[in-house]
Amino acid sequence: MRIKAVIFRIILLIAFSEGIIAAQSGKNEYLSNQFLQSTLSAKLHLSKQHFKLCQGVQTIGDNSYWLWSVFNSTAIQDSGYWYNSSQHNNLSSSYKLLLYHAIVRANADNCSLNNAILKYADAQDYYAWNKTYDNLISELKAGKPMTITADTSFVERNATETFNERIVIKTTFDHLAIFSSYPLSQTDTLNSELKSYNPWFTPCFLTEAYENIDNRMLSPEDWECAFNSSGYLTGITIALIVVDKGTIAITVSCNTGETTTLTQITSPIMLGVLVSGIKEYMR
Amino acid sequence: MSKVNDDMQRLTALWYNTMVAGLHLSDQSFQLYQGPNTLITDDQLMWNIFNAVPPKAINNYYNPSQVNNFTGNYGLILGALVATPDTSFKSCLGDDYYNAWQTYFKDYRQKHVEADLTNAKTISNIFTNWAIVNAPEKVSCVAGLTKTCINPINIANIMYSSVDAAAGGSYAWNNTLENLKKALASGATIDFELDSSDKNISTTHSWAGGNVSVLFNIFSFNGSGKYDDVSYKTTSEGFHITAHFGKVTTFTAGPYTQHDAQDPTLKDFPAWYNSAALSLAYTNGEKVWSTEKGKVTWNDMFGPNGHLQRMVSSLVVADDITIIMKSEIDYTSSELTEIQAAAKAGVWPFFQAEVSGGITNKVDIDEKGRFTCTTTIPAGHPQILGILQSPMSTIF
Repeated sequence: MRIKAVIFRIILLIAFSEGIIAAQSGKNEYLSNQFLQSTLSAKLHLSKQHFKLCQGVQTIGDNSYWLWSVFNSTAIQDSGYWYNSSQHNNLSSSYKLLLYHAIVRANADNCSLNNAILKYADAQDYYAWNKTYDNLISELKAGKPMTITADTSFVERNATETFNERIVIKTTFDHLAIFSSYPLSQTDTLNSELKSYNPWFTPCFLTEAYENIDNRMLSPEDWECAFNSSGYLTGITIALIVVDKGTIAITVSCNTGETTTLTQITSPIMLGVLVSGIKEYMR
Repeated sequence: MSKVNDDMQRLTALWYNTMVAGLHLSDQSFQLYQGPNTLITDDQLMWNIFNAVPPKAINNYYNPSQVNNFTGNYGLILGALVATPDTSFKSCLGDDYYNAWQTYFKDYRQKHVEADLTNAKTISNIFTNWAIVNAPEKVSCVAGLTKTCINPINIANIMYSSVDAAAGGSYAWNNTLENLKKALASGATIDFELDSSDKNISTTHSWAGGNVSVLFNIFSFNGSGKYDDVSYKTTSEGFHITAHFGKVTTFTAGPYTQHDAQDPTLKDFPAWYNSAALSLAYTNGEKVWSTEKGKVTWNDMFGPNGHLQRMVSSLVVADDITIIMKSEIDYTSSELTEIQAAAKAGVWPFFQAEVSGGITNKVDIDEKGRFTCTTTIPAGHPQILGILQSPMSTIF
């Protein structure tokens, strides 16, 4: 087995058996990873635009604090296929900024700004989501196995040479789960862990702030700062794609040889993350 | 550029591309880690790495006392933000009702000194009870009062300043060394092979645009001119790399935002970070920044030459590593002697390895005069291979 790195060349795309992949403008990414993301999106029936591949081996934590930190991160997700793991921008904090910037009016709406503020303040700086780490493990154990085999062929050209390339992906997972969760908006007295957390999120407030009909909730300037393409609240983490036990084998072959990268998974890892733009989230 | 410099860049770029391709990393965020402590020994050291602002280069020699760090820049930004007075409550009530409320509230405070008037629910109840009787059409104005309890700049300043008193000036991140050890124990095994040659020496495609830090104390060949010739020959003609990483993990942490009372380490540290303040500072342009002389500006922090261009999001850590580099070309006997001598002192990319970290280097030479260099790092000696950086523009 030999790996031929399919990098640093201009790619001429001819045909793929599993959807279309294309070199990203201005970048020279690794086509095997791009093909993996494309294949997984298709097999899992996830939007290719919203499914972001984790880099390396993103092992999972062991408690809800870790889980909620991942859901709380709202890094901007660009048009690429990699997950941005930064936790420097938090939904709970951005939401607070929206509450603070909301316009105070004497005539009350159905969605009370004051109730939203009181609910947020009542969380006392502990921001939970509506599912816990135990839920994640339960869903993962119940997750079905999945086997994927996919291949694609294409021609690569540089100034002087032409290469016929082929990428083959073979993955097997004993368990796979698409684990979604939402900011805690209601008290959950039935969940042994969640019952000790106060809800902090008022969905109707975020809806009204985003829709901002007649600029009633936010000034146009504050709306832009939050929701425009370079705003602080443009993407939300809505699900984690988690797998347990399995392998990912990626074989790249061309005129000069064939090589394989083999990843053997023995404990749960995050394969990817499903993120949503704020516009889709509000719909 | 000198030939030695050129060699260093080629080796660094080659190793960078090997890591990115073999470990499924993005060349838009990965940065090679080099430093005195590739083995993390305590929480503070790990947090210092997360705290450092990475320079624009595919590799970085980590400086434990790096001046340009996230917490320092965040503190400067907080000091430069203007807490604009919020007039929404007064505007909502109108002057007459506002004056009446002020009179009532002043009297209330004198009569109820025990009341916690920083509590949103308490202040909401006081106003609502007053408004129902005195200004029923203005009850909803209460939000103008309660939102002062969630003023992001005030809260951010209180949280940030709490560190000095409670934690001796130590800023925590939301993940610990103990959790890194657990993550590594649960990490996957990755095996790959790669041919090195001139075609994957380039890193111009990467986020750093081909910038390489040349660091002689890391990629050192003992200053031997003869060995420089050997290294140039090797990197020019290429070699075959076989890599085994028994355990690999991508370990993520963020600035400490919410107190974690359950974690045995984090429970003793105060949460100090509030991303709303940074959101406000970054996305609102200069209007929220003080114009006072001596304060930092938006441009100082986020401009083209600003201090806070990017942040560390994750560490890429591996344990139980075997790297086999096999030459594809013939060497003379004197060149092979040079290679064997260099191997005793540590071989690229793990120089000084045998001194610490349990690393061993072994060189075998076949009958054709080709060498195979095997570097082994046994299990129990985790190494930081690199970091993932996120530019400000992809965070806010």
